[in-house]
Amino acid sequence: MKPEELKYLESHEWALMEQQGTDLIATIGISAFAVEQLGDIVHMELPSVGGSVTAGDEFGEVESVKAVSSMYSPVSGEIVDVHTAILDNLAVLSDDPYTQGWLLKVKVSSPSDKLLDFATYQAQCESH
Amino acid sequence: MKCRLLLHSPAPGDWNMAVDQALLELGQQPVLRLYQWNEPTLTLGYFQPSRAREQHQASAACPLLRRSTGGGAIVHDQELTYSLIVPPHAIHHPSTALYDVVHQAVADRLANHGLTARRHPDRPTSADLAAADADAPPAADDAPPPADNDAAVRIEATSARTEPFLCFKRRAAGDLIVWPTAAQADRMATLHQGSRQDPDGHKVLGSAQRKRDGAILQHGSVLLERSPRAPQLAGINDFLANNDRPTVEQWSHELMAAISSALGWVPEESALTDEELELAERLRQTRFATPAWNLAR
Repeated sequence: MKPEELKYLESHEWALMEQQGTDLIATIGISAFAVEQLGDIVHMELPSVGGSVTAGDEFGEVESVKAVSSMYSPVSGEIVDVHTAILDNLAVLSDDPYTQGWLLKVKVSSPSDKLLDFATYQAQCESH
Repeated sequence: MKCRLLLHSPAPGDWNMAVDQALLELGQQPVLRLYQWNEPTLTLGYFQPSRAREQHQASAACPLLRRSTGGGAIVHDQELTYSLIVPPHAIHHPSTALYDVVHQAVADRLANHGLTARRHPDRPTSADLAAADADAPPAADDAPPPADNDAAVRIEATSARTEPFLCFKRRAAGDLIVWPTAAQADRMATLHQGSRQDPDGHKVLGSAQRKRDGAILQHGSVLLERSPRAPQLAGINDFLANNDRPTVEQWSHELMAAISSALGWVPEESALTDEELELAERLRQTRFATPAWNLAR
């Protein structure tokens, strides 16, 4: 996936929106900037398939450098897939956060109204 | 920048954790809080499995709590806990800089007491230690590492990494390690029969964070003296002569001054507001006093 084609939250989660039949599916992950800022990720907790997420609300948690952070959902909807294999190889997040490093797939009922395009998100990161 | 200073009397662990969480959730202003626990208490890092405590027999009788911050388990006994609540507008970048600023401030303060402390992985030179104890320069210590009951305790981390159960047996970048001179190590050994100088130094301060909506809660624990509930760990007073061991209150004020100054904060003594008290009590009842939270993993 190309970072330029994704939407972002200020809190550094990304979403790729794809129409699949009648469903709008969002693939969700955390950005390369987030992974770099987090440092060495040692724990991650993700929700289960069949659950739901709400745009702007927490969907999981991550620990790095003894800091626990929440991850927030860019969309509302039903969780249709979870990348559980990544929990056994968190280094993938550093190597390829936008393709191999995806975390959830969600059947979207509504996206967040706070999604940023790539340029706006990049500008936010550079202001840090 | 002004910060609220909260110096709290020893309190139950669930209340201590609930107050920090309430301050994080409501905080608009930086807060520095120093406190102790009204009974020896074992806290787990947020992701640690509760069953891991079975491997640490010395703390088996202590009540168990789960922190919202990361890292390893801490026995809160003969120690001083600090918490920092840093609102988004006052955050250091990267956030790990907050560890370094606080830990270096404490290292500088320990130096005033003749203790050489370095942030891991830095180590003092022989000349540093000799300067700290000119009358008793250290000899090379080729002794093997002391027996470590925690060495066999391993947790299955999500990343498949294994680390000791206790925070103070772990080594992360920035952890504050005391490197005693030979004389200071002898003092500790005399005070606690059978104790030996650890060739890897003695960790006396570790910190961990919780991030929420751009704000940070940073917890840290300063070991003051060896606890019977964690006898493998030495505290800073264990290395000091009898007449140079500050009281808990003295350490509390010294650390308050050192940390606030290093952060460029001007402390103003404060009290919890009614809103903070109300939220803390709600968080205590619904989270930190419940098995659903404490035994969640």
